[in-house]
Amino acid sequence: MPPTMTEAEFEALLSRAGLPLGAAEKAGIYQILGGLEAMQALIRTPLPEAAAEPATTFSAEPGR
Amino acid sequence: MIPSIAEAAALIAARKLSPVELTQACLARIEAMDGTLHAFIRLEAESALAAARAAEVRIMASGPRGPLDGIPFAHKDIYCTAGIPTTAHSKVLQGHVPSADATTVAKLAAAGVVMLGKLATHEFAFGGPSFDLPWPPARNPWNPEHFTAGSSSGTGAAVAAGMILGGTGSDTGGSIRGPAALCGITGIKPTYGLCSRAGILPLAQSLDHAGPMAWTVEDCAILLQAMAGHDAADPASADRAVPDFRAELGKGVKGLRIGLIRHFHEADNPVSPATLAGIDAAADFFRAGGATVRDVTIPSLAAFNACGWIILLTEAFAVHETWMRRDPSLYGELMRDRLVLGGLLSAADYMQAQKQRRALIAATEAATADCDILLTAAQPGEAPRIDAVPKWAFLEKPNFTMPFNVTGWPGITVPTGFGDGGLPVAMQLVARPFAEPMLFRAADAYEKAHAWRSRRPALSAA
Repeated sequence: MPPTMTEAEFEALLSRAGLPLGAAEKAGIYQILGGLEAMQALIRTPLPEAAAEPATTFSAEPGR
Repeated sequence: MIPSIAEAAALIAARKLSPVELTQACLARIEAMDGTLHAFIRLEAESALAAARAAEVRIMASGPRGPLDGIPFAHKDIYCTAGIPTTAHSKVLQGHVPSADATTVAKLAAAGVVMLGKLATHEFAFGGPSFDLPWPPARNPWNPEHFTAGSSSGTGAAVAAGMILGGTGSDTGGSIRGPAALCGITGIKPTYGLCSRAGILPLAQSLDHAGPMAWTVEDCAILLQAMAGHDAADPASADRAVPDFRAELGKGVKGLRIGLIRHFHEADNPVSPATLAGIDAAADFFRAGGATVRDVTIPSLAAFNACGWIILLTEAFAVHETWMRRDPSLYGELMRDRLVLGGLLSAADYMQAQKQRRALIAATEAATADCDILLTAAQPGEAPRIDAVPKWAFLEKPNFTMPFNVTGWPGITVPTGFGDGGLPVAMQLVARPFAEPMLFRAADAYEKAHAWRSRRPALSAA
């Protein structure tokens, strides 16, 4: 599945992540980004309701 | 004959089997086969023999500490071992020597296991099978041209070949259950939080589980007994009493309520005829034994996999980002390129995946509220050739194991026979959180009623 993001957008994301990759590596990864984009779409389909929010990593209550 | 842990323990307790002779037999098998299988990346033969001699003296003087005293064992090389290199099979950590044991390593040592060495893994439990790392990938004892699955690849190969009687694995998306299935052994991913991950190199902390792999279900129960328990050093550790994991063995399956997740292995990712036949035969076995079996429908494999992989990739990138930014060439190609995907994801992606996780767990709980055990596939079929494993397999087809990393429910892989290629096929049984005794009960009943445990890879009999 071809990606919807452009190569320029891909380059921008790599720069944001600070990843120094060679041209061949970038080309290989770009080709398969459609699979990742499909997963990004699936986690938003349907968008979970507010009750599913994951506020589980912090509690002001001692011992929790 | 290669004994199970339970068999060896009984013989050792009766002073009919020497831990030293048992260890020597395992070392001899390693010597004979590991040049082909590459299950070990580090052998500790001298210290193992010293530990076996100490166990023998101890047992002769006052009896065994328990069923693991004097049992040959090894650890996946992401389990930190004090004074012994722990590399995650990676150039990044070559020469890394921990100063302390992982909690589970210490608990198993206290139970008396004889540690033979460190086992191959996919790089950092994610990148494999790779041929550009300091050590070669482990190979499948049933056919060394074939894949073990991963990431606990060395443990799967070593247990199947009888080099060890049990070993440790870790499971973030199937890394215990996958190799157990393809290598024809048993592996359990316990409930999230049951076994401490302190001292185990992380892949993705909210999905990482530690657990045992062995030849039989009972052996996994024995090993889990030693590994489980609360540990304040692991923030996710469950603070609850550890049950007797063998308490329900032998009670049969009468009265169990089994949910068959047929859509996983027939529609979402159709399995091979041999795998399907094994699952159907297991369902028939459970029915014949007095269990009820009904189809259940839970969210799709694709939905669970999207959620799990987004979380895994993001958390893994967070673990590795400093090294990746500094010098990505230290990693093998598979690990490096897979980690890059995590670097491309956003904070919103991660949060949406965590919200989906909540929703998926709620939907699974609702759809299986009247089930004790769930039944589906562990792998789509037999092991593929090791040189034919797609680099991006996890983007191409959803796997059967990730759903229960997302939910945190315990899952066990049990062999159900052999496919057309002569390699093992398996099923996966799943229980509700902390219901491991019931899970072992169902798996053990199936295993004891079938003859699959009487057959070892031909390589190990040579």
